[in-house]
Amino acid sequence: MNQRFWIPVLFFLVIFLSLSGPGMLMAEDAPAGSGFSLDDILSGFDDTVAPSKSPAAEEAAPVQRSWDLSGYLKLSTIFNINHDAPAIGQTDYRGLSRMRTELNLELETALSDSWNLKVTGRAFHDFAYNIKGRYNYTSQVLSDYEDEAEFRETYIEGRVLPSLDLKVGRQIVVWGNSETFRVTDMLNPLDNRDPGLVDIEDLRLPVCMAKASYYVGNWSIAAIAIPEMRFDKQPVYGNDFFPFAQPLPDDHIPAETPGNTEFAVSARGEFHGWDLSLYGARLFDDQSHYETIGTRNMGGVLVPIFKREHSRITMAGCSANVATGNWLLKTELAFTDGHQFNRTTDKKSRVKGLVGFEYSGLTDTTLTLEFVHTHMFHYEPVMGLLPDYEVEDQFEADFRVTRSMLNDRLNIVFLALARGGRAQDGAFERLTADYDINDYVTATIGCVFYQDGENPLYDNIHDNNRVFFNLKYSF
Amino acid sequence: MRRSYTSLFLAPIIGAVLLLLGVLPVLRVSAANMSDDPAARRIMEKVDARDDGQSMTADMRMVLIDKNNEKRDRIMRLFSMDKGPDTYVLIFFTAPPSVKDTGFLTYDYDDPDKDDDQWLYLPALKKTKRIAASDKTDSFMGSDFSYADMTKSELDNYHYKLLKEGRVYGHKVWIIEAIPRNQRVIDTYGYTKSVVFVRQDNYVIVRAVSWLAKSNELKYMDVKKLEKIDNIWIPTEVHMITKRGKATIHKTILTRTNVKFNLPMDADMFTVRRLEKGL
Repeated sequence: MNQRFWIPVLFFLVIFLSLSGPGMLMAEDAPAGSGFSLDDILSGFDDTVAPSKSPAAEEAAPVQRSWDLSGYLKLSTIFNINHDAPAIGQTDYRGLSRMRTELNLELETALSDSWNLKVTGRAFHDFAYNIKGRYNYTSQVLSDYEDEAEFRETYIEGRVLPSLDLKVGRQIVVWGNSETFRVTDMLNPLDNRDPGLVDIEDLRLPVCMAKASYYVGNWSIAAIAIPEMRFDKQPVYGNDFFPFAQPLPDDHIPAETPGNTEFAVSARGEFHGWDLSLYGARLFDDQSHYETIGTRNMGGVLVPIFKREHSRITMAGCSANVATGNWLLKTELAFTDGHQFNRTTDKKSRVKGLVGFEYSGLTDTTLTLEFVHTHMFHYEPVMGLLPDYEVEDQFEADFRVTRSMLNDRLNIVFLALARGGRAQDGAFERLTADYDINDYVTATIGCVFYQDGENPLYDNIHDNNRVFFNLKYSF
Repeated sequence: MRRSYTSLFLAPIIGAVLLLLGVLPVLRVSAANMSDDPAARRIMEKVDARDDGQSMTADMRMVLIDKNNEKRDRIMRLFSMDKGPDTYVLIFFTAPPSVKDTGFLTYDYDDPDKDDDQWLYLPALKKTKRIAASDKTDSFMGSDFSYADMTKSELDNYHYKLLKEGRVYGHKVWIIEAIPRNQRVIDTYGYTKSVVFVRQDNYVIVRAVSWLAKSNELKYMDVKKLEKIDNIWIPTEVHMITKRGKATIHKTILTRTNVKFNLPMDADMFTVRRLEKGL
């Protein structure tokens, strides 16, 4: 058992339960209203008559506009709390690792009775690199982490026929039931540059798609074409989450041609107490493999030159929810074929399954527990070597507690995730507290603890323990 | 298989947490042996039978006021429709920005043995989540109203007793005690007892005090404004106050405007498709 996993888990749970107060633990000893007579209790009303025109009522009607501009301005700061002093010439990761200002703007407008346009843009600048000295960082880190500006969800959507909707543009389509694991959720790439630290609203990267949805009875059937080639954003050389000592070869993004267009179909049925979804897709693998594109003469020795390629994969999957009482049971299953690795010649297939539940029988609290198993077919031991580090069977689990307090003013989330049945392949725990200062400003504090695993990709990840503080103004 | 599942890493966590949280209900009451007061029962039958329309649309605003008098808003648009004995409800939140575009869809079944179907659209996740919550005691969007307060409770869930008559804002009322018939009702709705004030001229509950099962707090519901719209009585301003003893812990002012009843409405309105499209 990975002891370093349990220490923060227990620490976070104690903190969580302390913050939750007695209401979560058990009912108070004294029943409600004890010590007062019924007449005392019934006389507890305020007999003030409401004014004939209530100011609250006057303001209740929403402003009707043909367009709506919203968004947020966010300051996020992150501190590393575990790094040692660097060797000469190495990046000093200690202390401040992010001081980012971020602006997100979202414009929505109705083009007609049944067609809408949405445009979303996001930009950030991280002042941490100026503060700590840009010379301290690799060009890859500065390029990927210091500035960014991009269109996020930008699309038009509308009703073509009474039972047929169309949505075209950059969008996010979420498949599956899990909020932590990606089993069937394969359409949008992820922003994994800061694992465990990316806000859920920024985690999925929107991709240009054309999605047609047809509704019949309890079923909705969707057909999707994805011409935009976009892959996960991963840590880059020089970042403390990057596990290798040298940069990766260039990533070759497939051309956005009709022949390379990705396709997906789904069917979702909603029934009393349960739902079922079926999925199929022909995509490019987010995980890349190396291909030799030539050789280079280095002192009389021919050294191969690599580039990273993405293989085409085929996916079939399903997911289901069953709600019974306060329990939501969920399951997902996905089979994918066509994965290519660096040290094998044939393409591999794998199956990934999830079972889990959510329990919401505690006041303002939800407990979630999920287990995932991935099995690689026709596994070869060389796949366990650098740079793939693939295993034949991988078990993962997550445990999440969300708790709303102070009339939704304070929301606390604790998440523990482990790889391997004894967390021996790595783990992390995160505790986050969001506090609404008012209707527009939210402060967030939190911390993330990482544990190393036997998998070399997670060597020394415990150095990356972080605390963070965000201030967000929404409008 | 390379990994052993014999020591699933989270099993001890779950065991400890469930123990600490006291999953087993602490409060047990038995009302099985109680019987209805026929006069009270007749009044409550008329309350239950009162016309509340086949469908309704309204703009709603909740002002959440804490004990320091700091206020927060929740503004939403509500659609509801009767489907046979069941009620479908769709709510879209329009403000504040932190909850804007959140949608909530409920199929509230009349059959007490049938769990409601509930879905929540979360714009941050870009997905619709099915919710399993037969326990309706959670706060509705941080307000003093619980999800149970926002739904219609079954007449047969309670034993009734007429306590006395009185006046509220000049109107004559019956004051009736309602005791849950069994522990399931307490677990679902969160109250061990309620006293309701029923106006004698129109059978509207204009006040209620409810005893919370999970804390030593009381909730005071007070209809400050009652209007007759499309020939149907509807509370258009309701105050809900949570008190511990005489001290106010938190207060919510709920107002309804632009209320319209019996507009033609299609069941297609109450689907996940509509939930995801938003207003």
